Amino acid sequence: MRLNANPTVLPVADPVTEQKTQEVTDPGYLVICWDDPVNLMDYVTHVFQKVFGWERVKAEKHMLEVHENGKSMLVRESMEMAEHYVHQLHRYNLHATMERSE
Amino acid sequence: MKLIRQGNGSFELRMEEGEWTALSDLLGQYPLTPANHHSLNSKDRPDPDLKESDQWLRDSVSNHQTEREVQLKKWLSNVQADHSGADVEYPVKFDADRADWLIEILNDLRVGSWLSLGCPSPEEISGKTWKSSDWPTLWTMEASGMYQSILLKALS
Repeated sequence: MRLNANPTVLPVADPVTEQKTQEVTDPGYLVICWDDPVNLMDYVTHVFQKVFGWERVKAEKHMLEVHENGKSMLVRESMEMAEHYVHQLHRYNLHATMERSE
Repeated sequence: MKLIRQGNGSFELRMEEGEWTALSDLLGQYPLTPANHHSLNSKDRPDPDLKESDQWLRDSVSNHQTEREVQLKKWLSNVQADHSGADVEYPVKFDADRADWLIEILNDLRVGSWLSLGCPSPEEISGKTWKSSDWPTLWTMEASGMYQSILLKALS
């Protein structure tokens, strides 16, 4: 057996870099709210404020997107967080889905 | 029905007996939206990874409705118990959390009755000749929306 005169130095993973790399490679999930003819506009605004903690202006902007464009992409999150938000929106009876971001 | 603001984000709805009876009868129908109505998967782009999550969502919504139903029954009986027989009005007090809770319950009734009517468009709701058997469901949908609007206005 030959001893290596030059000991190998193994690379140590930098947790910060690793996390950043994961964020770059995993685009996450989009939470989308869809229009329907039954939920009141003020109610949708109210729910966005409650679920996401948004200011009224931002909540109204997304509500109008839902109303005028048929849907609004609300947030992009990890799978767990996207599921959490979709669950909250469904508890308020809004039609929300999640899909993998590309 | 009178809305009285009391400061600190709380307010009171003063209702006559008939108005209170109508509201409590309406709320007594909760829940109306079936849990299997809910899906987190997009119809256009279904994700097979989320198939199991749909059942989880439906279980979660169903458990949430059960909790809400228990809380609602307790609240209705508390309001009834607080009412003095001598008073002609029912004073129903709300803070922001209670109003949010009630708005959510009313929305379940609104969406559930809309589903039960076959998801009509606004034009169909006002233009269609409805069967008399649909009238109670239409009333539930419209009355829920009216109470929601009153509470949302009070919150804003």
